[in-house]
Amino acid sequence: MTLAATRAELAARQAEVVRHLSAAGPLPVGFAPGSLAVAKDVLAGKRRRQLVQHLPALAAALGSELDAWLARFFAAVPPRADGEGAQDALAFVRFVRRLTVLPRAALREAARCELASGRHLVLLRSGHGVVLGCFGCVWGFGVSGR
Amino acid sequence: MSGERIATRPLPAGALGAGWRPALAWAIEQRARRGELDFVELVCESVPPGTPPRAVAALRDRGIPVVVHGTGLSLGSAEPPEDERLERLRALADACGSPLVSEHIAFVRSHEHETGHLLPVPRTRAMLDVLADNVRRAQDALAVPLALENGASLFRWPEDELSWGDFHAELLDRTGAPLLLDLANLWADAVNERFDPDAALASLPHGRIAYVHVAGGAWRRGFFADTHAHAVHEDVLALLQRAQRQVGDVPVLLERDDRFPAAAEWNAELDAIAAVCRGAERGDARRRERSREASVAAEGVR
Repeated sequence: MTLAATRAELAARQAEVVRHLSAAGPLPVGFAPGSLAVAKDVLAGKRRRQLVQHLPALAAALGSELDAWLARFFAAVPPRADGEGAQDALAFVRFVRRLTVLPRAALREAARCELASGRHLVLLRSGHGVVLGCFGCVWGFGVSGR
Repeated sequence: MSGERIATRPLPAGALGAGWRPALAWAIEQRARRGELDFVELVCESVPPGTPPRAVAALRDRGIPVVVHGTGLSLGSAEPPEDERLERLRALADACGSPLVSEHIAFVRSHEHETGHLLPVPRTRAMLDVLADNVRRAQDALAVPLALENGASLFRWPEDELSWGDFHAELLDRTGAPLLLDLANLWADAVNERFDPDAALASLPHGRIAYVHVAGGAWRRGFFADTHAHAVHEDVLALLQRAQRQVGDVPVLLERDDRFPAAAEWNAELDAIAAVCRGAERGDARRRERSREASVAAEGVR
């Protein structure tokens, strides 16, 4: 077998493993389900820790509902191929904001994530609150303090 | 191929090191000032390209070797390592004056998804072909030797053909690379896969070990996971002592990535590692002395 063919075969198998571990892919053929389940938990725990480090205000706002939100997010959004924790945080805060109203601190945090992703001007609305971000600064207007 | 790239040990024998992390910066600085830390390791992906943190640059300027450690090259991926990531390793190694760079024998992504975790590769001859080619490309792109680190395997591939020892020995032979021997990963693999870590260690080319990693882990539903968030397991320290006797006085580095302990606790853990290494040395000296006495006695009898 040529190296190119070996690479192609390996790529298909690795993609199966990664889909199973980081998204909702089926168990790859021949693997022991118990050890892969442990690996899946370890990966989810690591991703959870990184998200909480990037988004402390959102994590605090979600409180006891955080793990349920993370489970929905992990099932819907696999980790990014560029591997930057900040981009995963941005994806999570967008995911949550689409589905629920964010309190003041979390909406400000969301605006800071948007600015950090390279945007120069950000206007976010959640419930009755509005946050404006530009030049690295964030201002809130009429936002709930929940 | 083998032999061409074999490097002599770029770190001093018996050196004690620590993985540099912002949360440990103060403790590392204090320990280095006391002359009780001989080298540090800096994770490439944790800093801006080509820019060591000021605290690490200060250590470098005081003559403390800084090894650049990669976690994102994904040498075990089906695809060749990306030029941008190789350039980032090379630039940081240049900026740090690193004597060597190290990376894992693992894959962290497929062509479609990132995992954020070092995943085990199949121990097959086909994987060795891909790994050898990926490592060669990385070696060609770097200006200093690339040490390969054995990763931890929370799961194994059904395709496995080779034992832990045979797979790693053959990879080192085919690439000529030095080895970063992670004893915690070896011990975790040994307990998870039920093989003898000492026999696996014996099958490696000892002269190729550039340095050793130790780190903590935790049990997860019957499997031992390398969390780098717990104290080093006592069985890993025992393996370190036996390893020092098998392979000699190699440099040892403590890694910690999460749930950082207070400085006193972290220092105590490094002291314990140093004591284990000194104990192994003393044991060796005693054995050498007994052997010498036995030879002298035998000479007397003759």
